[in-house]
Formats: sequence, structure tokens, C-alpha cells
Amino acid sequence: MEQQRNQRTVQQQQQQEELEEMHHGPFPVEQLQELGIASLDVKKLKDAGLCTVESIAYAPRKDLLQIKGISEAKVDKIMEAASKLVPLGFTSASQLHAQRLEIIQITSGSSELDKILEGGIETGSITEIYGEFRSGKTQLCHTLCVTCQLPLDQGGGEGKAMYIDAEGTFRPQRLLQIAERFGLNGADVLENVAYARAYNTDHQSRLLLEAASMMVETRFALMIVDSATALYRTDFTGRGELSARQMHLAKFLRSLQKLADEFGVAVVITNQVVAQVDGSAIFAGPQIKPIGGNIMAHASTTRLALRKGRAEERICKVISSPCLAEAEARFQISPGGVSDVKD
Amino acid sequence: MTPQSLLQLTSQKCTTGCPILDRLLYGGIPCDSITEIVAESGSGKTQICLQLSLHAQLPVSHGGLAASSLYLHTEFPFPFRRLHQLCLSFRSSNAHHFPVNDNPCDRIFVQSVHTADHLLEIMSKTDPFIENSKNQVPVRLIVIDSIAALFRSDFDNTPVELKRRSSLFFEISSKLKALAKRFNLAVLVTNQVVDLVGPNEGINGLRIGNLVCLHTSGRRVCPALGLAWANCVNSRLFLSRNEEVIREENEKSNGQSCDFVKKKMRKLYVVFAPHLPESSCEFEITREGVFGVER
Repeated sequence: MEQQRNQRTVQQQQQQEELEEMHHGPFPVEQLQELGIASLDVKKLKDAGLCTVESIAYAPRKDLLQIKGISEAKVDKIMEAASKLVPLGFTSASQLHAQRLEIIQITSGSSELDKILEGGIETGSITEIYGEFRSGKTQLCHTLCVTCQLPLDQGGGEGKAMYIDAEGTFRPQRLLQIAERFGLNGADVLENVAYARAYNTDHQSRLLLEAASMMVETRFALMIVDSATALYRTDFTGRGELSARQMHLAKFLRSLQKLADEFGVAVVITNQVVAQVDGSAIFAGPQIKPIGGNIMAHASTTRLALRKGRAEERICKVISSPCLAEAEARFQISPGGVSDVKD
Repeated sequence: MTPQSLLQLTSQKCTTGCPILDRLLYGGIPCDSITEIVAESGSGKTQICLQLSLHAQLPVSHGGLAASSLYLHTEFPFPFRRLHQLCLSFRSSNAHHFPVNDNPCDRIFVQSVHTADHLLEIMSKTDPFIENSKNQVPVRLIVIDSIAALFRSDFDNTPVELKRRSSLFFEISSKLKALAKRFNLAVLVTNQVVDLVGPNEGINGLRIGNLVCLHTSGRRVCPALGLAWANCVNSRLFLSRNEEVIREENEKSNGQSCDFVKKKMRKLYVVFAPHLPESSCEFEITREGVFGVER
């Protein structure tokens, strides 16, 4: 009897999941009003950065309790309503694989580079690019801002781009030059890039809350944080603040992961490097390594290392990825952005 | 309540897919216990987890559990492409066990976990789920990849928060152990590492309990989540990766010459386990999966 009842609820869950599959994209938080949550509470949730029902279902209870003006009883009511809309059952890997075959990959502008990335920058995950100065990180970011707006059949993402700049290296004129190469209207390209300058680490984290509310309204394909770690080097100094820095960085990266997962955007972060000055380490180990430690390493899904070759050539190496083999590719920086090496 | 006869208590093991690794682990990952894999990023934890969820579907005569698996992942996204790749090579090398149109991925249930509270909620749901699965292919393996990601960003570094974090460890591990005991499951958990900064010898040297020195990529590391979590798991395996310089003899047209080549050396260590001695073995990751290397 118990088994029959359980089987029936599993069937109901499956049916609900099938209905869910018809709906594309995340649920906006206004849907909670249909389940009896007051519009004032919905507004408070939106102001706190929770713009989709998924983010409420996945948020820990203590985060919801911290929102001003929402009592404990209301929190329980909200969580119950959210869990009704977002089914938390189990699905098999092959079912999810069928859904995920629609993953879009954004071309980087160079076909060699796309080959080692097996299509391009993947949406829904964090790609970390690190390298010394003048290795091409910001150039690659500018190129991606334009290619993400291309239609899907040209390898683009058909969506807008968001650029959070921590180093002050964003140049709209460069975007215009790259747009010319792909035959896009310069003014439209600039219109589709949402730009923000971050001044300190707390500001950088707050910008993500605004980003979430923007992403619910229009379709974004790409989010760039250049560079994610620059501000941490100045805001936190010394060994005493090391654990505070890593905690802050961990929270920031976790929110980026949630954004990537919820909205299916490609998140690209650039990272700085530090030189290892141990004289004895000539052969053993690399001479430069990316900063951020283990927190950064575990948060980024794909890590790419860039270094400078001869003249305009740059070399990109896949350092760590769950699906890609370690390989190197050469590309070139031209007036049209990142492109293949012309032999 | 009668005591169990020890003569009837044998622990079933799930093969990892490679005979060399199985030999190191005395058969594979044991059931009714929690095994933890600790490594820095990019060492192969997820690869081993995926490989194990596929090989759990082999019949018992070939070292598997004839079971489906539940894969809870906390780091997005789930590596579908890699699972698909491993599935293809698994199918081709074990074609005689599976019917033609069968897809082993049908028997791996994937669920994303966002917070520790979410994990507790999911575990209360797995009870009826595993109960139900007994009718088709029963679930005998739970993989949590990784447990560390849930705890490293949501908790501040204050004593109150750390205490709450430790109590969550004990709650989660006791629920896992209860599940493992009740349904005779094998549980595999992956963990991250933290760097140890500071002098490592002398009175002011850093010693955390009895934890041994673990090295990877030329750095001294320690498993994340501290002593409390170390007590929650039954066995711990450590994966290390190092770039080593080896001499390779090359035959060239003008006589023999040797090159210094940088090779990646990956090793699997048994840190502690009730049924295994301290040992290690080398392995490599190829397109077909994770395989041990005999030197």
C-alpha cells in the first residue's frame, strides 16, 4: 500500500516535470503572487537580489531570514510556495543529457582556439583565463562581447553581454573595430553590452545582485568579469586577512556559479598571476601561477592559460577541464580582435 | 535484537574499472561505508566518480553491484559530455553484459545540490526513492561531488558559524551512514584541499592532529573541512599530481641523445582506511577513463 502510494507520487512528480519541461528559462519571482504571497513581499525579495523562483528555492533559510521586513512565518510560506513551483525530484543522466545537448558555445573568433575548446566558450559554466600582462586576456574578452551577439548558426550566443570591469581597461572603440570584422552595426553592438565599473570588492559583489535582476528581463549570453581578483589584491593585504579574502572570494564565485546555472550565461573571468621566486624551482613546477588559491581553482570549470608568442601571436593552453584534453592553440591579435594565425 | 554473526558479514565491493586500482583497494570501493577522495582541482576526482557510477552497473560476478547510482553534484555544471564519452567506451568494452539499445546513463540519477540544507532535504527524499528503485534496478551507490563546495562559501569564520558547520557535518554523515547501512549502499564523497602556510617543523610547526603530510603540485596541502569531517568518513584516498622531469632516451640520427621532458605524475594514496594498509599507486587519465599504471 505504501509502495503504491509512493509510486503514484513519483508518477505525479514525473508528470509535473514533463509540464515543467514545456517552460523554458527560469520562473520570475512574480509567479509566487499566484500562490498567495503578497506583492510587497515579492518586491522585498527582488530588492534583495532574488529575482527568480529557483534562487529562492536554492537559497539557505538564514539568507531569507536576513531580508528586512520578512518574518519567520513568511519565510516558511515563501519557501513552501517556491518548492511547489520548482520540482526537486531525481532525473536520470540521459534525460538531462538530452536537455543539455542544447548547450550553446560561443566562438572565440579563432577556429584553432575553438577546436581545442571543442566548439567555443561553454554557456552555463565559469571559464577562467589567466596570463601575464599583454598576453591577450582583455582582447579575448572584447572579442567575446561581440561574438556572443552573433546568431547561433555563426557560432554566437544571440544574446547581450555584461561586462564588469575592475581594472579600467574597457575600450568601446575596440568593440566598434571588432564589430566591423563580423559585419555587425557598431551602434547596435555597443547598445547590447551592459558595462559597469567595480571600485572595491563589496561593490563587485553587489553588482551581481543587479545583474540577476537584469538577466530576468532580457536574454544575456555572456558575462565577463575583468579581472575578478584585481580588487582583492588591494582590499585585503597580508597573511592576517588571507582567510577573510578567501571567504569573500568564495562567496563571490558561488554567486557567479548560481548566475551561470540559473540563466545559462557563459561566465568568463580573468585572473592575474604571481611569479614564484624560488631560485631552486627551475625544473620543478611552473614559474607563474594564478592567484586565488584553491578557492579559485575549484570554482572555475575550465581554466585557460595564455602566454605571448612571437609578435602578434598568442598561445592558449587548456589547463584544467572536466571534458577537454590538455592541448595548446595559437591565435593572433589583429584589428578585428582574436583571429587565426596567418601563415 | 540479536547480534549479527561475524562470519556472515562480508563487505561487498564495487570495482573501479581498473584491475590495478582494484588491487590497491582490495577489490574496490566498499559498501556500507563512506569513502572520501581528497585532491586539489584537476586531479581526477570527478573522473573517478563518473567511472564508478558506470561500473556499478556491472553484474556482481564481474565486480559491480548490478545497481544504478545517485550522483549529487554541487559544482556546476555536471560534466555530461565526459560522462557520454566514458559511457561509449564502457559500452564497447562491456557489450556482452548489456542489451543493444540500452543506455547506461539511464541508470545514473543526477541531482544538483545548492546548499547544505538542500542536501539534508534531498537525503530525506532519497529514502522513498531508493525504496522504490528496488523494483527496477536498485540504487546501490551514492556519489556526492563535492561535499566541500557546500561549506566553503556559506559559513563565516566565527566560532558560532564553525560550530554550526560541524554540527551539519555530523548530521549529514550520520544520515548517509544510516542510508548506507539500511540499503547496503556504497557512498563516495569528494573533498577539496587547503594549503598549509607556515613552517612545518619544530615547536611552532603546523600539525593538525595525526594528519599526515600530503603534497601535490609542489605544495603542502591538507584536506578541507577540518578534523570534524575527517571523523565522519570511514576511509580517505588522496590523489596527487606533480610535474616531474624525467630523462628520456631518444634515438636520433646522429646517435643517442637524451631529453629532459616534463611529465605529469599522478598518484593515488590510501591515507586511512580500516581495511587497507598505507599504499599508493600511479595512475593516468585517458579518453577511456582512469587507469592504474604499473611501473
